[in-house]
Amino acid sequence: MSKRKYVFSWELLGDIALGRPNLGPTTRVEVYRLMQFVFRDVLEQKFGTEKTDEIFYEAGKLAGFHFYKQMFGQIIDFEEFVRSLQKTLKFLGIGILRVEKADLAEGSFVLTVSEDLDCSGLPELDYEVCIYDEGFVAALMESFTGKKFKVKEVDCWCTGDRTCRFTAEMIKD
Amino acid sequence: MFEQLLQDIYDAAEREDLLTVREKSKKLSNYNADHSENADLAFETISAIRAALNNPNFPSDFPKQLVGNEEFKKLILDINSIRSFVFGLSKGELSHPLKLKGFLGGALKTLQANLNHLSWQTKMIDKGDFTQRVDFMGEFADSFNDMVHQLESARKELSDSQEKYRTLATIDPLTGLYNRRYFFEVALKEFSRSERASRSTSLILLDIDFFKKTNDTYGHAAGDHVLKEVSTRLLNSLRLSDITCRFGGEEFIALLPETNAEHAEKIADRIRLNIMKEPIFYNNIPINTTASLGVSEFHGTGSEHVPEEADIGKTINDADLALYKAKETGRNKVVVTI
Repeated sequence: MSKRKYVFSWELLGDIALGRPNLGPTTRVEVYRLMQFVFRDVLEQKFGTEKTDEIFYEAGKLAGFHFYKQMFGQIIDFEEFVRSLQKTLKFLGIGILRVEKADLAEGSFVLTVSEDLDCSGLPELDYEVCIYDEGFVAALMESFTGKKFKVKEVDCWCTGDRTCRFTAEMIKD
Repeated sequence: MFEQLLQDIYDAAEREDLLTVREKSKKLSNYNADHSENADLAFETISAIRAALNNPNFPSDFPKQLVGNEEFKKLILDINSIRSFVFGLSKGELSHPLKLKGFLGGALKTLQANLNHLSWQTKMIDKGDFTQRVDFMGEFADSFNDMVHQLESARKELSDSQEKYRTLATIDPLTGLYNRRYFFEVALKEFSRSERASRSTSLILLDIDFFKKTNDTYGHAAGDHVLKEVSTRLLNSLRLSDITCRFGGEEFIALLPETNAEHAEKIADRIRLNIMKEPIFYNNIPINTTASLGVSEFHGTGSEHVPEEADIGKTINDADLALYKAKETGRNKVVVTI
């Protein structure tokens, strides 16, 4: 690829306090979902379903890496990391994170996210939609542990499960 | 349909149209026969579902009219899945899989996720993380959170109390210096280190001169004030690595790790000068204070012998003899045991 135009950096999110003195830093969930789902639609038309899913996973990962660096980069204790992550996700309205299983030594985790920003309240579909979240969670786990992770959404609001459940497994060498 | 047929028969009878009455009556009779069959099938279906839900053992066979019905099969599989899941849950199995989707499946999975999270939170509390709070499960959550809060308070009280007793056991309440008991604890470690490494540890024993006279002249409160001020001056004259203790009455002892007697003598003289350089003021009354000091040294031999209190006692005794000599030869001086 020739010189890139859209390399992401946290600074690109801008000075929101300066730019939105009246409207503030929040917006409606519908607006976020509108953008995400039309992106998904157009990407699928251009590149097909599989490639679209791959792009969403990778985008989630990129976001997760930057999010971790920005919010949790100084934390070294795992329990403190989880506590901080729970608080931050709730505060930002991303979702209510709960841990079902956490085996740091084995690199095996089961996490649930209720009231998920991406999917809670969506009509019932016959597939899981939180692929962006999968990448996001994978990046958080990888950033904290320094190991590669595969994250899979096994239950989703959209498949009638009311809460999103993710398994995160460390990829062993 | 049923109502329409009745109306038609009624209208035909009004018109005395017997042919129509006969025809419609026949249809009505067939309708009743058909619907009676349907009613029987519905009854059998409901009974089968009820049995699948309630029988202690899951039914192994169902009415033959239903067996080939795909929707019925799916429903029975769902019921079986819920039965296994809920039965597992009732026995405390929190990892039983549930394939069912939809409202009921979702609600059960949410309950399972919450219970699993609760287990994880309990493990975290067990590890000492008292920040965990349950934000689901209604009244149980309130009780659980109260319990965690009380555990945290109890743990803090215990920890404060341990700290308090530790302080009481090691600190002299008047001067804030370590006490005699703590001195022996530390001295055993330092003497052992010196013994293994063939290094020196020195002791300085200090006694305030004419302290009884201070008490008799100015009162015990003034005497206590002098003890506190001497402690401060003593502490300020020593290094951070030195251990300073009140040994009893007006007597103090300092343990100087990695220090030979020659060096310790210089430090002892610095202490002496700091104590005498300015009078100690009590209620604006100047009290001139001096101290006599005895110095001794313990030198390790590089052996694995672990020093005992008797070894420390001997070095203290040496310092005491030197102190006695300092008192005998005029006070306000430092004497080193040769």
